[in-house]
Amino acid sequence: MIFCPGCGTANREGSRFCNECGMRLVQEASLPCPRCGTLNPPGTAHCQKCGLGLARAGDQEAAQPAQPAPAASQPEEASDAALRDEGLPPWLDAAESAGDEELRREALEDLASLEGEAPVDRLRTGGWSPEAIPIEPIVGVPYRAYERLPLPPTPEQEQAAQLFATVAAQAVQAEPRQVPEPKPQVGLGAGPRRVLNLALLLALLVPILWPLAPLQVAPPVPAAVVDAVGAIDALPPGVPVLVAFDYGPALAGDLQPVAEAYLQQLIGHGLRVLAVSTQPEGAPLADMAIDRVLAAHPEARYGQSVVNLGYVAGDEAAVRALSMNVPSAAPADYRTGAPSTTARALEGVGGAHELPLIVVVARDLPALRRWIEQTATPYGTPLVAGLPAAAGLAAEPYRASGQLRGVVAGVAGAAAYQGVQSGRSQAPRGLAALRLGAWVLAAAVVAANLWALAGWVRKRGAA
Amino acid sequence: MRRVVPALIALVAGAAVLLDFFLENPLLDALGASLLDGAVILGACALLLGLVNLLVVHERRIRRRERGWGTSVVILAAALASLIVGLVAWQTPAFAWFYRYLLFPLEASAGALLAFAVAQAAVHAWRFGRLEGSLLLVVGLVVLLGSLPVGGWLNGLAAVRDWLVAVPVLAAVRGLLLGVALGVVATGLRVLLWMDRPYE
Amino acid sequence: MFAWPAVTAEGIGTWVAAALTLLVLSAAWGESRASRLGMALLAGAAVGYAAAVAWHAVLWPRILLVRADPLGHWPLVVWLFLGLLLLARGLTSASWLSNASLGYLFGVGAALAVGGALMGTLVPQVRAAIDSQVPGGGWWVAANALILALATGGVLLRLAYTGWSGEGAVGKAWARLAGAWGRLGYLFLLVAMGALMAAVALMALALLAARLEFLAVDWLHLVPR
Repeated sequence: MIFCPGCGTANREGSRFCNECGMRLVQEASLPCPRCGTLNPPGTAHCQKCGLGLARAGDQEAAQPAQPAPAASQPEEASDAALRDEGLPPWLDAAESAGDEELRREALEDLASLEGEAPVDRLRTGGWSPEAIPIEPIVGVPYRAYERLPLPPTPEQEQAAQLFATVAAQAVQAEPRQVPEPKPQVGLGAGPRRVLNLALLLALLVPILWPLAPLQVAPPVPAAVVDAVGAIDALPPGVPVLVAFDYGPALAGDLQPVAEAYLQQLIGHGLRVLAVSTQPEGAPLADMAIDRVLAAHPEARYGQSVVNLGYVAGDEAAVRALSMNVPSAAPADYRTGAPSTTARALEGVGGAHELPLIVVVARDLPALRRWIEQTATPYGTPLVAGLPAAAGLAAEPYRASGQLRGVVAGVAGAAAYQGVQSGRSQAPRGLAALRLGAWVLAAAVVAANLWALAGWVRKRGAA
Repeated sequence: MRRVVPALIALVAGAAVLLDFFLENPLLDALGASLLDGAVILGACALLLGLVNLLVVHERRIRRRERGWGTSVVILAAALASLIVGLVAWQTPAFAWFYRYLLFPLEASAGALLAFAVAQAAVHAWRFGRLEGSLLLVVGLVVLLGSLPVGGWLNGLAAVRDWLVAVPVLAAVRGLLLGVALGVVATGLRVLLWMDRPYE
Repeated sequence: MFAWPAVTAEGIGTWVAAALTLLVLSAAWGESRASRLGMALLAGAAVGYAAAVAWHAVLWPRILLVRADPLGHWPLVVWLFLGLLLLARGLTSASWLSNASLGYLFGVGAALAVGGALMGTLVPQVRAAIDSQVPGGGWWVAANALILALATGGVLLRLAYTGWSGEGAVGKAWARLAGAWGRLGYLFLLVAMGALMAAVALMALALLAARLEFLAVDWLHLVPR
């Protein structure tokens, strides 16, 4: 047995390749075949490739050069002798040695009938030829690319080859041409989207241009707004209150009315307002709100009743720095550029946590949370907030826990706030537009669902 | 050295601020105030860095004539114009005009575009059929119509909306806030204890 | 009613503002060069403006303080130097110089976030959640309290226990309970998402209404303010 050096599988004597993994089995002291040069294992009677008798070849080669086959006295004997000299396959040899005369005779007849044919033809006709069929195991033999016969190309092959030649001949582009990816459609198609957008625009525009009585109804007053008003009303006049304008122009449509409503009440009550912002775009919005409110309160003066301390950078660090020391965190007056300590509104003010109230008008919950976490809760400073409608909902846990004294949310909240302050219910133009816009959106949602339902019913009917 | 120094600074500064947060001590207060001042200054420098980064990125895009370089020209021009006006004309009527009639309408209009996107999202997501879509549909319509009632049956809807906000929404948002706070504590401690080094 | 604008700064400014508003809002019809131009203008102008504000409102006053009294304000010198190093982040060859400044920012920020989250949210909200389970007050109050407990716990479990299987009898039982409770929390999350989405829609409609009011009232004077 020959053991494969790669996988250790036992292979029969004479194997050239491992039956398991196909590795070539190198053997020492091999017998070279004088005709084809194949190395045969020691003791092999016939060459494993061409069938030449190795024992006779070894004996005769040393004695004399290759002799032509002796002429046979009878055709069978001659062919028998010739085949023997040419080399019988081992299975035929085995059959002969086993004494199976009939099997041997049939094989010899087959071989005689194939005399003269080319090895390839013999392969095609099912015959056997020592040149045509190398005796190799099938399993594990590496694939060999056989020589292809030259055939004329088909029209499709011609076309493909010409296209390839054309593409290959083109110059290489420095920058590949960008092919835009088709955008998958998400949501509505372009047509329904435009219809929806147009409907919303009209729904918002109509109440602005023509007051519609059914829409001009004052909003209900939430408890959170009442609490906010009460928190400011409870303060004695002259005390400082910090107002943070932590939003930008993107949300000014929703929050500027809230900020102005707070400022109106604060300045109307004679309180000192310290305006500050932790957003770069917030300080000018504070200025705009201050100008509007001062125009309505001529007795109030900038610098005495209100001062804009501008922008303080750093998000949480800014809030914490303000809570520790306001003049240090905001050293300059935004409007005049003078040191903030010169403003009378800032007299006696240290840290924001010492103030009786902080008002935060914030663009979202994280902006409000900074003030709650860094100042209001650690020091117990009362805090009221102005928020967009969505953040107003999200701030409910803080209000329920008492960390937030009051909340004014959105345009509706601002209208309710002004109504509570003035004692008259308010329904500004923007509120009426908002109402109609909300109804149109709700109608669009319902219509989309009905459309989907109709489609489903049609499919069921068709099925 | 390059890795150790920033990590040491993060640990020392963070520890001092954290101690100041929980303990009342005049020395700690003074140290904390100074450290916070530093954070404020660095926060402002981060905004300058944002400008530097924008200039570098878009200048490269223009120089190499990459795709979209025309937009980069507009962005660069707007940034430089804004910066120059802001530096030169600070606290002048010109600067106030720039803010009020250029920057403000651009930002406010960009915010207003949200209405169309949200409307599309609502029409697409509030669909009866699956559990998620049905819940969103019912709750969304109740809140949308119940927030601004005009009387009649809408007042009843307003009462349902108020209950929704005061009980299930409050509870769910509280759960989210607690989850977020836990995450913040975990992430903050990882940074302070050098397990995460986002500054490298 | 409509009147031609006066040739004043405000008059011209109103027309410029109206043009920019229409430029950006044109995206409602579909993305176009005009809307992209508007967005590009916004992107550039916002960054330039923020840098100018940072300089004037934060850095320049502190530089003046240092100039007036360098020794008295020596910490500011350190912080301003760190700030200068931070700007090196924009240079690929020397960005390592900014690591110290970034380390400082992250360290202070992390400390403030941890302290604030613990004392400002975790403790008060857990206390409030427990306080909401007040006995008495009738069946309606009790039902609300039960919903509050189920929803808060369910949302937390949904966030924390995803795909947890548990080992042992107790572990498996807890995993099953947590999974079921978490699925209930998922429903409450959906309710919250629906409500928040509707509130965002209201906010967005208010923002759009404000721009339309500007166009109709301040620009075209179709209606008095």
